[in-house]
Amino acid sequence: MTEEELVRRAQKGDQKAFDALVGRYWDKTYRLALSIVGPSDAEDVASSAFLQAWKSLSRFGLRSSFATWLYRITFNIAVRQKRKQAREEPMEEVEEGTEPSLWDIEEMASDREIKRLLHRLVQQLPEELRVPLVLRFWNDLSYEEIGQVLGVRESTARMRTAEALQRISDRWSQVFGETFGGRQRE
Amino acid sequence: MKCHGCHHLLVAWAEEELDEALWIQVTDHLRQCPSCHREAEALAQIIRRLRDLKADLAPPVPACLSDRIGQRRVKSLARPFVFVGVVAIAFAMGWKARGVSVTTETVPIARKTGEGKAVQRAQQVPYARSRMVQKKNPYLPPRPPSVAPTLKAPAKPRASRVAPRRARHFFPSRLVKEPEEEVLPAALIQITEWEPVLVISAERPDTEGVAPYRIEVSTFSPVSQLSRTLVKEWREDGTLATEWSDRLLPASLAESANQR
Repeated sequence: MTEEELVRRAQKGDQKAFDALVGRYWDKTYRLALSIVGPSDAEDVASSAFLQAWKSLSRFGLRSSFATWLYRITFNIAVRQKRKQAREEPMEEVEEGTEPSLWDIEEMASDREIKRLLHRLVQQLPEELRVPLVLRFWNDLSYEEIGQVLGVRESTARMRTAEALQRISDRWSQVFGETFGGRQRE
Repeated sequence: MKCHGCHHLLVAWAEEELDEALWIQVTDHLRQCPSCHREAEALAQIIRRLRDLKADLAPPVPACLSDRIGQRRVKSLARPFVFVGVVAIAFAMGWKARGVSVTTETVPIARKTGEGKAVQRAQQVPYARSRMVQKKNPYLPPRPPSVAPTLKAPAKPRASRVAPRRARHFFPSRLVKEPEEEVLPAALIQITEWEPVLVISAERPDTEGVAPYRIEVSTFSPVSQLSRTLVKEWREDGTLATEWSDRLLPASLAESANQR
């Protein structure tokens, strides 16, 4: 069943159709929430986004894709949650200057470690660069859709994503003295 | 293509988003420039790793989410009923507050008439009073001097009768609450002194028994520049109704009234 059919059915009150949409978009919604609020609140934010989407589904006019609309809701909820966190307690910052130990570098040979470190580098990016990167590579949105979700122009979304990639690449080179592909820096 | 021109295209190249002509140009440059090539390769690797990473980053859908969605559905289904209920209650309250209802009871009134009594009797007629009058709205000016029903009868009274049905369309509150009406400050209302009334028309019963009559008078107050029209009807069904309405005099009329 196509996404549009599922949305139309859900708009008529078919909960199974909406459950199918939840199944289809849970991962991506969770990842977007994770990139903004961190692992402690990501699941709550993603759940809230789906509940909000279910509540407001009658107002969704299919002018954009369901995914874009859902991510916009998720983004808004996550940003609100992050502000709330900041008011209640200072955000636990990912340490900018933490460098892996020798043991870490040895362990880096494993694929899992590379992923872990890459994830850490993504989390170290500022939010305005991190979110477009996540939407692009974890949620597979086009730059136009990213612009719609974040309320910015397509070119801005493109520029921020490129900047995020560049920073990850630079940071990797700084820390390990070699480019991401494994070649020694000159 | 130079390094400077190539640099901003590297992400698009790594994402394989370039059109063919540009892709060829960038690829040619990358073959010649090891620095740009290294950078492009690194970006391509990061993109590939990021895409691989996403699979590890999502837990399963929480089991309780579906239940919570179901609960919200029940709430949203109940909402229209709540809305209809609230509207019905509001309508009922508004209808009641409208204050003008036609009574089915016949209110007996005494035959005696005189100064002030006509007004008093009119207050006993339920349908002739709006709720605003009943509650003594502070914005209403004081009542005009009562119109004595002992006015001289016309030489040849007409035998017109007010249709009983008219009673059902009798809404004194409309006269009071016309849209163009301007409410006077309470202080000004208190110093209003009414000029002697001008009888516009008076119809008296042509028989001795209970019969309808209708008196329409107008008066004005030069101080507050108000003109008041008062209509009293004694209906066939034995009820006495009083309507009155106040209007602000137009400036020209007010001036001439003052001069007089």
